[in-house]
Amino acid sequence: MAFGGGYTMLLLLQRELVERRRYLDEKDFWETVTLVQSLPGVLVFNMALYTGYKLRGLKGGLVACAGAILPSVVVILLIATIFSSYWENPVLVRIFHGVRPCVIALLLAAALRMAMTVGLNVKNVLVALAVVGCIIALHISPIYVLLIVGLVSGFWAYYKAQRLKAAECGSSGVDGSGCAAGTDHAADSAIGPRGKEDGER
Amino acid sequence: MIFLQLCYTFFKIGLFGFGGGYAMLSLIEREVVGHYGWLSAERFADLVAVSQMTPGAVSINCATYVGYEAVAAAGYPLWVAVAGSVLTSLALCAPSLLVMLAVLRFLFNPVRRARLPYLQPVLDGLKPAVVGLIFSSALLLLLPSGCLTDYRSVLIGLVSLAVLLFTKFSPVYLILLSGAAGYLLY
Repeated sequence: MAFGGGYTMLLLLQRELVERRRYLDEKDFWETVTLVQSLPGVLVFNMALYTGYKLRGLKGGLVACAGAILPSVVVILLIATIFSSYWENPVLVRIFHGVRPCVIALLLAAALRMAMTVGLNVKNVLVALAVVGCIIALHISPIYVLLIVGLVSGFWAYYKAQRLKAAECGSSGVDGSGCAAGTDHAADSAIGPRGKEDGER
Repeated sequence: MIFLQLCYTFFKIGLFGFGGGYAMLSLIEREVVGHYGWLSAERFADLVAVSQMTPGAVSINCATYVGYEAVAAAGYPLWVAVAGSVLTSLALCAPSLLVMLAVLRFLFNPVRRARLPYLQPVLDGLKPAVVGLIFSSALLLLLPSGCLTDYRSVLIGLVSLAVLLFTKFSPVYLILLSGAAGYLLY
């Protein structure tokens, strides 16, 4: 099944859902993955929900979700019930001495790879370093860090959009009607700022 | 009481679980090791390895195990611990479910999506933060567990990192191999 998690799993999912079962077409699959990746939550779980929902509505989604959780729960429970009395076993202790540095390498590799896909520019590196500093040195909960980063990004985009709008209807004077139409316009063409973000990347 | 704590904690983690399993680890670490002390830092590192090697999403595997351990450590019998682990996994997935249902109703409708012009910049802005989160999970595992203090673990760590970055070798086999190396070296 889905060993390894994350990106290994994406390929498995793609093979199963798109190529073998034809539940989703290729374009639909990758579009959904891209969207889901930027949302909170468990990727595989969300993909299961989406596929089930698309095929059979809410019930299908829930059934698919149950299918996504079940193997985890069963296997881990087996391991937990067996392992928990053997953690101090000398053989296991030696094995896990070797495994721990590997796990750290795994995380570092994931972070580096993710950094490459996000793009290495000054802003991104600074944000990442600030996040590490807040969590490790200042012991701020990662949840608050995420909230702050999200809020700042939102306000920054808002500020940029406002300046853009001000530049557009600045000369014609602020008589209200023109700018009100401007806001409607901005709402209709929300692709505008997003398109620019894509251009920067 | 422990059930409420588990539910609340993992619901929160699921709600802020941007950036997938590895980024979520730093949130789980913070709550499970730092705040509640359900697991020690070493045990958490071991759990990450086990979660990586077993089928299913890393974060759900972690939640299941933490749920079991926390309830068992509080002195409840086996079947209650099993119920606790199922509950914890569900609590982790519940926010996913709600967010996804909202997304299916909302974001796949372009007209409605246009009314949220600032959602995408926020999601994009979180991406570099996720890189920082994953780095933090690595550091959080590294610092208190005292591993990478002798040459053998540094060696295993560096070799693993090189293999992961420059080859397409499966992480599952890599964990197994480093376990074997640990057995032989220590």
